[in-house]
Amino acid sequence: MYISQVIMSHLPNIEIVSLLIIIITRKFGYKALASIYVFVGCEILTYGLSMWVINYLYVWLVLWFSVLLIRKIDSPLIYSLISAIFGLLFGTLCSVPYFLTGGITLGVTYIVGGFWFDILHCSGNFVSTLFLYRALTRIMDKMIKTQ
Amino acid sequence: MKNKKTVIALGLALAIIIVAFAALFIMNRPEAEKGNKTISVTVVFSDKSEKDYSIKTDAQYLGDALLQEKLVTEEEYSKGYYTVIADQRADYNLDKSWWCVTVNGEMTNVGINQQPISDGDEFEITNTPA
Repeated sequence: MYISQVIMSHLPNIEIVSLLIIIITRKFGYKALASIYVFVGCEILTYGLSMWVINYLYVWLVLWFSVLLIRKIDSPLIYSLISAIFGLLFGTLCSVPYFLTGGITLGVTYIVGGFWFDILHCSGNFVSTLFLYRALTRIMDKMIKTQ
Repeated sequence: MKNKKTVIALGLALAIIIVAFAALFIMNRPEAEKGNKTISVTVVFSDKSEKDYSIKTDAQYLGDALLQEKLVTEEEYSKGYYTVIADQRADYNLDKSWWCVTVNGEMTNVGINQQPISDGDEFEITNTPA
């Protein structure tokens, strides 16, 4: 997850971390939390401590839990839509600390200011999940079998 | 059949959220002003030094005014996503630093290319570290 984020860091809000979380959660359920927080730890070591760390401590849990509820379903389209919704709501989910520290005005400003980036995040998540879900799932299945 | 219902429900949820966001964006988007204007732009760099620019322009949006003064590049202007302002880089995707834009002391709630400008506006663009 960390390597993919670093490689794609020059593309604003385009990432496959969401897709990897979806696949790992489907395969490992609760144990996927370990992967998620190792990723968060790597990010903290790379970029240091700031407001975004608070966001990262809870935001990926939303996606993880959503997938956990339906992990038996094996549908690229369903996970693409979930990933798209998550991407669209990413900014809103990250705005919680701003609502708490700066009130409604700052929170709404944060959400509205990131609107276009959330649209980009939504589209990127939808397309990447739709086209890469099957291939990455097969790779994950092979890796699990060889262990 | 079960999956079909889930797909429809998720598709509807996505559509509703997009519409809700669009409404929120439209309700909070400030109006653009036409005609000649003079605005001031203060760029605060990562070392806390500042540079002031007084810009006379008939541009309606901040992005156009900054491009006019060559404070931003054509490439980033066309994308609407700015990492380099006044020759200094703040790239959230690299080191979590970003450009914070305020107008008359308040944070803007739209991007630089969508931020309208009015005569007398005072902008501050601050390189904000992680």
